[in-house]
Amino acid sequence: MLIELRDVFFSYLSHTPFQVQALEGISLSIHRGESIGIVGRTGCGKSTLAQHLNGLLLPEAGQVLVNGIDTRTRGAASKDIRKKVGLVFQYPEDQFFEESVFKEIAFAPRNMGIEGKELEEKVQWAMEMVGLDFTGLKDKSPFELSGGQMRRVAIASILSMQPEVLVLDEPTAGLDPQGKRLILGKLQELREKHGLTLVIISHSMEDLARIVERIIIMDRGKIAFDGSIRQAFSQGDFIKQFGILPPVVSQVASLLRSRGFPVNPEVLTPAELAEEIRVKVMEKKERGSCWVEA
Amino acid sequence: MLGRSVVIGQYVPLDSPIHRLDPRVKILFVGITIVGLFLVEQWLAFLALGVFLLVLMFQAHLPFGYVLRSLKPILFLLLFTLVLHLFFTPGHYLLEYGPIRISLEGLERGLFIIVRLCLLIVATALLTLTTSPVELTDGMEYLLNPFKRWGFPAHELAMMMTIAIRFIPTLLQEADRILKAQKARGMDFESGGLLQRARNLIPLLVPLFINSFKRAEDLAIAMESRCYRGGVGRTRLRVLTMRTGDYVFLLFSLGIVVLVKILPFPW
Repeated sequence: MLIELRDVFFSYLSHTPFQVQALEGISLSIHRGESIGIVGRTGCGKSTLAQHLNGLLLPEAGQVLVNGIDTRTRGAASKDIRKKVGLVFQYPEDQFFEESVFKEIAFAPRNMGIEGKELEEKVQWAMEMVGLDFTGLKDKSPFELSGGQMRRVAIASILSMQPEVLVLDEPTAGLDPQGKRLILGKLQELREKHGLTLVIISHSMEDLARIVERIIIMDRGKIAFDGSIRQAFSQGDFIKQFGILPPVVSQVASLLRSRGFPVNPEVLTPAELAEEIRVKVMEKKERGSCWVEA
Repeated sequence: MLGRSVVIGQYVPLDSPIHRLDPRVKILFVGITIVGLFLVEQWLAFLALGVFLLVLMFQAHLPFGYVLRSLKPILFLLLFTLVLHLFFTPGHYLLEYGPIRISLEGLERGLFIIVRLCLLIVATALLTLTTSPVELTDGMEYLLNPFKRWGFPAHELAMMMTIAIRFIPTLLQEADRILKAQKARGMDFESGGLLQRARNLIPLLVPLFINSFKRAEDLAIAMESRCYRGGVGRTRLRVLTMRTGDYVFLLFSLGIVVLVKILPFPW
C-alpha cells in the first residue's frame, strides 16, 4: 500500500467564524500502479484532498501515511514524501519563473540536491516522458511555448523528481483537444511502461474514462463513492446526485438499454460501445429473432 | 481558497451610529482631531480629547482590544521617543549616572508626545475600523474633487486605490497557491541563511509578478469592454449624501476641538 488516509479531517480558517470544513472523515488507500480519478462538485474538497497526499496540508485529525510514514513527520522525511508523491497543481504553468525550460524542469531535482550529469539525465528523461524534444526546447524560455507545451513542461518539472505517485489537479484544463489527447496519452504511457501510480482530479468524465480505472466521488468533504469507473458510470442516476454526468458513451449505452437494446452498460470508450453494438447486432442476425427482453 | 475570507485592512463590519456616518465626515473628523491634538498643550486638554475619543469608540461598539491592537505597530516608535526625550532634555535632573541624566522636563515632554501619538492613532483607528475600504476611497474621491480644477487626478487615484484593495485577497490566494506549488517541487522556504532565504523568494515573486501583469491586462480589457473611460461623466452606484446627523457630528467634533483649545486649563 502506497498511500493511506485514515479518517482525515481538515478545515480552512479554523478557530475563526469563517471556518469551512473541507474534509470530513476521509479514509482511503492508494495502491501501487493504480490509476484513480477524483471527481465532485467545485468546493467538495478534491484539491484539499490532493494536497494532503504529499503533506502540503496536514490533517487536523486522522492520519495520512505515505509508504507507512506519517506526513506530519518533520525534517528529511517530509521532503522525501514530496519527492515520492509529485503534485501537479491546476494551471501549473503559473508557477514558472526560470529563464529556460531546462532550468525550470531542473528546479525540483536541484532542490533534492542533484547536480551535474545526473541532473541532466533526469531533465532529459522527464522531457522525453511528456514528449518534448530535449535538444530543441531545453534552452527556450518556458514562456514562449504553446499552451500544451507549457503544460507538459510543468508536468515534466514534477516528473524530474521521479515520483512514485503523480497527483494531477485538472491536468487538461484550458487545453485544446489535441493538447488534451497528447497529455492523456503520455500519462497513460507513464503508468503502463513505468509503473507510475496516477491520481487525477478532473471535471472531464471523458478524460477519466480514457485513463482511469477507479473513481472516487466526493461530496461535501466526504467520499460518496469509491469503486470501479465502469460501475460508477453505468449508474447514471446515482452519480447525478453528486453533480456528475457520465460520459456520452455511457449515456448512449444506458439510453439503448432503456429502449430495449441490451448493450453492456459498463462500456467506457466509443470503441467499446461500437464493438458491443456490432456483437449484439451480429447475434441478432444469427438468431434471426428480436432482442427485446421480457 | 485561503484568501477567500481574509478580512481586508482593519474594518470591523458592525452596525453603529459611527459606522453609518458619511465617510467624508469621518475623514474630516480625523483631520480636525489631528489638528486639535497638535494645537493643545495642556494635560487636561488631552484628557478631554481622550475622553471624547473613548466615548466615540463605545458608540461604535468597538471592543477596546481592537483599538489597542492598532497601537501595537508603533510601540517601538513610542518607546524610542520616550527614551530620546528622557535622556536629551536639559532641566532639573531626577537621576544622574555618569553621562546618563534623566530630567523632569524630559519625562514630561516624552510622556506628552506619547499621549499625543496614541490619541492620534486611536483617532485614525476610529476611521479605519468603522469605514469599509470602498467607502473610504469613495469619501476621499469626493473630498479631493475640488482639486481637480488644478489637475489633481482625484478619480484616478481613488480608482487605483479601489483596484489595489480589490486585488489584495486575490494576490494572497495566488501567493499561497504558488508557494504550495514550489513546495511540491521540493522548495524549502524555512531553512538556510539570510541570503539563501532572500534567494528563495525568487520562485515566489517572479510568478506572482508575471500573473499580476497578465491580470492587469485582462482587467484593462474588462473595464474597456464595459466602456470605462475615466471619471468624466461617470455616475455612481452609491451616492454619498450628507444627513442631518452627519452635519451635527461634524459641527459637534469641531466644537469640541475648538473648545478644548480655547478653554484655559490650569495644566
